Amino acid sequence: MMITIDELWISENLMDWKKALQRYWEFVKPSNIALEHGSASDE
Amino acid sequence: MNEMSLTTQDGVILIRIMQRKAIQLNQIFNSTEWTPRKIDMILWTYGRQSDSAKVYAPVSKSTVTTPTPEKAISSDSSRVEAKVRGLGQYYPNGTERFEIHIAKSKAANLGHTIGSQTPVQLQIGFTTFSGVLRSTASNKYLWISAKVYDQEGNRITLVDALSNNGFVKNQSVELAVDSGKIHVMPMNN
Repeated sequence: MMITIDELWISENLMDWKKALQRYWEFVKPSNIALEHGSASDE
Repeated sequence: MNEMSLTTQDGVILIRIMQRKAIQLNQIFNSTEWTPRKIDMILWTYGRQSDSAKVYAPVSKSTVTTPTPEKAISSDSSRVEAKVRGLGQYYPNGTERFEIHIAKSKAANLGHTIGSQTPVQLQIGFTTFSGVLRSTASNKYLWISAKVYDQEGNRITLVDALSNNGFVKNQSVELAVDSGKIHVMPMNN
């Protein structure tokens, strides 16, 4: 069961945050992954 | 704040909220990895479907950043189902040796010759590793070996590379094969 955003926002569990970030990549087409990784690291 | 009609000022406020959260997480976890962009990526996923129906997600409406993710199609032939496996063997620091196993019946898209060792580039989270995809004639599965190397050539255990990105033993994962790189992603349940 996915943690809710209300629960995540106050979570101090690193794994909660990493899993939430992982979930983003479920939405990204394989052909866009390299582009998205570039975008995520261009900060 | 009207979510359907955000103003520039709303955007400034949202960015500040994400900046504060990123700073807070870096303080809590004693790291520098959290950025407003990553907070934005996380927030973007909430409210979007992520089940086996695999519906296309709309293009992000965020006014803060402009990600362009679209949900992959379930029949996408470049995705391969796999499992994170613990081998019951332990390193001196107590962590278990992990491999990623792929059933031979599902490995056609990996371009691997049975009985060989294929060098592969693995994307786990935001890091690229070099590893080896292996198989034998007798084993029913292919496996990504327990030892990988980061881009600086440092030897890393696969268990550390996976655990640091939230993957756990026996987790189902998808291997998205793209431009010669294998991206390790959590499997939708």
